[in-house]
Amino acid sequence: MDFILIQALNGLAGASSLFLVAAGLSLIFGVSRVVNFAHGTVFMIGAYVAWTLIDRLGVNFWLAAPLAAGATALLGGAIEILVLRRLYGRHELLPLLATFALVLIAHDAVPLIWGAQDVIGPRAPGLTGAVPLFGRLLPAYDLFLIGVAPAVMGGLWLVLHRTRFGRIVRAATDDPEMAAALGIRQDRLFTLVFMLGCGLAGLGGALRLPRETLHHSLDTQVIVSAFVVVVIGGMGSIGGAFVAAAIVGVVSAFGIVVWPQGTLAMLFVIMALVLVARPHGLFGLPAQMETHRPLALPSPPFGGYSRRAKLATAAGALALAGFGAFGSPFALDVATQVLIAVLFAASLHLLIGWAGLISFGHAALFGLGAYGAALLGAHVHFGVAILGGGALAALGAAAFGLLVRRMKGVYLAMLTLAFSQLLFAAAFQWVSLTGGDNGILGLWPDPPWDTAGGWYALTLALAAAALLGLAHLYRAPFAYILRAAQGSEARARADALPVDATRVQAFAVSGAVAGLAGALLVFLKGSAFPSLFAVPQSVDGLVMVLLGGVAHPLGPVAGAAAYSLGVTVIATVTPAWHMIVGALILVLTQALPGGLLRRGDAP
Amino acid sequence: MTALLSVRDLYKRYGEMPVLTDVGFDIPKGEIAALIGANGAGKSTLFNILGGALAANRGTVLLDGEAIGGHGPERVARKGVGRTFQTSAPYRALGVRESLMLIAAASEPAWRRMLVPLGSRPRDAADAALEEVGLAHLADATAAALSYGDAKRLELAMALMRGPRLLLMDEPTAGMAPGERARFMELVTARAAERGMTVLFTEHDVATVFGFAARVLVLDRGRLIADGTPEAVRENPEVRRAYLGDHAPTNAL
Repeated sequence: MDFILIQALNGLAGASSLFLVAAGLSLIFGVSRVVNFAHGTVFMIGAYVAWTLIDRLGVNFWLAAPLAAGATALLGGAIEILVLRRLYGRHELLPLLATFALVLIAHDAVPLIWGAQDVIGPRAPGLTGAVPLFGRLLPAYDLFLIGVAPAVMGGLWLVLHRTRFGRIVRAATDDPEMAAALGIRQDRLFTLVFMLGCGLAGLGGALRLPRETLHHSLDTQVIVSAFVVVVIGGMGSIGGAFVAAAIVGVVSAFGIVVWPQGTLAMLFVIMALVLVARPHGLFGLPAQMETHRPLALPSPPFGGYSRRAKLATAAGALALAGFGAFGSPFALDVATQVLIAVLFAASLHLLIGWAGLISFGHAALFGLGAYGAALLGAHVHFGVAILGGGALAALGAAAFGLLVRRMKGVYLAMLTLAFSQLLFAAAFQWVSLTGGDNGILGLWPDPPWDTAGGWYALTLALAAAALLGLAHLYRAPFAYILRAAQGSEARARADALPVDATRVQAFAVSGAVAGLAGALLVFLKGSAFPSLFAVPQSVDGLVMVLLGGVAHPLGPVAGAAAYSLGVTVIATVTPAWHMIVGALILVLTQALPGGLLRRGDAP
Repeated sequence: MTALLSVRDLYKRYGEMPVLTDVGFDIPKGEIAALIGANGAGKSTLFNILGGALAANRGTVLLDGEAIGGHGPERVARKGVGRTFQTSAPYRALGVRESLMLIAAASEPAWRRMLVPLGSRPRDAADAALEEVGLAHLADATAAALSYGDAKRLELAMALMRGPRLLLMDEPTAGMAPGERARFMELVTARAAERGMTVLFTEHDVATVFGFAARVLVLDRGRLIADGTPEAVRENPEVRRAYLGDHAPTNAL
C-alpha cells in the first residue's frame, strides 16, 4: 500500500513537467491549429539553458528556471515569426514539416553547443532533502513538483479567464474565423500564444533538471509523451492535458517498476482505448479535428494511360535495366537505395497525396517489412522472407488503419508517430526476438542475387511491378473514393461510398509497398537495425513526397530520386547532415511549397 | 397511405442542452414536405439524425417501417435515403461523369473496386442521370469548374444516383436567384413524381416552401409546433408568433 502511494506521488512529480509541455502544445494548437513538433526540442533547450545558467554562470536554480522559460519564450517568438507565419492557411503538412526541420537542426546543433555526454542536473537549493512519508522517504523536490502543475494550471486559468488576452485566446480557440472577423490581430495573437506555449515547455525542461539526467535525445522522448498526453486529454484543452499528464505520469511510474519494457506499450494501449471511446480525447471538442485542407490529386486519364506515357515508361525501365549491366558496384548500390527510396515514398504518397491521410510514422511500416523479412530470412528462402515482410507490414498497417480510420489531420499525424515509436521501442527492448541494439546480422540473398548487379536487378523488377500496380490502382474506384472523401467526406458517406473500409485498404496497400521496400533494404545491407523504425526514416519519406510535389502522381518518384541522391552526396561531405537536411526542409517549406512537380492547386 | 418516413419521440441534446424535444411526424410515400424554423431551431440536427450522421439520445426513425436511426450515413444511404447539403460539396477533384460512375460502383465487392478501372465501365447510367438534371453537356468537366447552380444540379444527380426512396435536401436553393430557384425546384418535383420519391427539404425562402411543399413542418426551439398543409400552417397562430413575429401581416407568408 505504501509502495503504491509513494509510486503514485513519484508519478505525479514526473507528470508535472510533462503537463507544462503538453499544456503549451495544446494552447498553441487551440489558437493556430499548428502542432509544434519542435516542442520537445524547446523543452530540452530550456533544460540546457537552465543548466548553463546554473553550472557555468553560477545563477541560483530558482532564478535560472524562470530565466530559461523566458529564453525559450523568445525562441518561440522567433520560430513563430521566422518559420511559421507564412505557412498559416496552407496545407497542414507544411507547419508540421517546418517544425520537424527544427528538430533535425537541433539534433546536430545541441550536441555541438552543449556536448554529446549526459548532464547531471544540480539539486534545487532548499529542497535537497527528503520527507518521510508512509515509512519511506520522498524527495522534497518531488513534493514541490507535484504542486507546480496545479499552480501553473491555476495561473493559466486566471490568465485565460481574467485578462483580455485570455478572453481573446479562448475566443480564437473556440472559433478562429469568428475571432479573425471580429478584428483580432491574428499575427500578434499567434506570436504571443506561441511564446507562452514555448515558455511553458522551457519551464518544464528547467524544472525537470534536478530530477533526471539531461541528454540530447530527450526531445523525441518528450514530444512523443506530450503527444500521448494531448491525444488522451484532447487537443486544445488545458484541463485535459492536466488529467492526461497525471494518468501518463502515474502509469509510467508503476510501469518502470513492474514492467519496464512494456511501459510505452501500456501508454499506447491506454491512448488507443481512449481514442476508440472518444476520438477527440477525454476533454477535446469534436470540432477541433476539422482542420484538414483537402488537396486531391487530379484524375488519371479516363481512357487509360496514353501511348506516349506507356512508351516513356518502357524506355525508362529499359534504360534502368541497361544501367544494371554496366554500372559499377558502388553506383549499383546507390541506385538500389534510390529504388528502395522511390518505393517507400510512393507508399507514403498513397496515404498523403491520394487519401489525404498524413502519416508521420511511416517508418513503422518500413521497419515492419524489414524486421519481418530479417526474422524470416534466418529460416526460409530470402524470396519468401521478402514477401513475408511485405505481408507483415500490410497486416500491421491494416490493423493500425482499422484503429485510426476515423482520424484525420494532425491527430492522425501524432498517432502514426506514436505507432512508429512503439515499434521502435519494441525493436530496441524485445532483445530475445530482435537482438535489440545489435540488430539482426548476416542476411544475404542466395546466388545469383548476392552481387550488387543481382540485387539491383531484383529490386528494379519488384519496384517496377509495385509501381505499375499502384498506377493501376489509381485508375480504379478505390483511389476515386479516397480522393472524393478527401475533400467532401460527408458527401461521400451520404453517397454510401465505403470511406472507412477504403482507407483501411489504403493503409494495407501502403504497408505492403513500404514493407517490400524495407525488406529489400535488409538484404541489400545484410542487416536490420532498430533505426529502420526511427523518426528520421519517417521524415525522409515526408521530405521526398513534399519535395517531389504532393499533388503530382509522379511526385514521389522525382522527390525520392532527388532527395536520396542529394543526401548520399551531403553525407559523404559532413556527418552533421541532419542539420543540413533540416535547413533544406525549412527552405523547401518556405520557398517551394508545391514541390518540384506542381500540378493543380499547390498546398 | 402508409408513412414512408416515420419519426417518433426524437430527443437530442448537446451536452446538457436539449436541441430536439419529442419530435414526431409521419411523411407518406411520394409527398413533398418542407421543414422550416428559425436558425438554431434544430433543423440541421434533425436532418443529420435522419441522414445518419448523428445519433439521437432517444426516439426512433423508421424508413418504410424499418429502423434506420443511429446507423451511420453509409448504411442509411444504402437503405434508400439520398441527401444534398446546404453548402454543396461535389467531389471537386473528380470529373462530373466520374462522380456519378463512382457512386454506381460504391456497392461492388472490394476486389472489383480495386482492380477494374473506372474508365473501363459502362457510362450509360451516369449519362442518363446527367441528362435528367440537364448537365449532359458538362459530363467531361471537372466538378470544381462548375458554376454554383450547376454544382447544385450535380449534387442532385449524385443524390438520385442510387434511386433513393427518400430525398433529404438541406436548403436546396440557398444562394440562387429567384428564377433559378423555381426552375431547380421544378426539376426536383418532376424527378420525385416520376419515381414516386418522397422529399423532405429545409428552406428559408418562403416562396419556395409554399410554392412546392404539400406539407409544412415547423420547428421552434427543438419542438415541432405545427405540421399541416401550407394553408393551415400559414394561419397557425403559434407559428406566426414563434417564427414570423406577432405583427407580420398574413400575406407575408
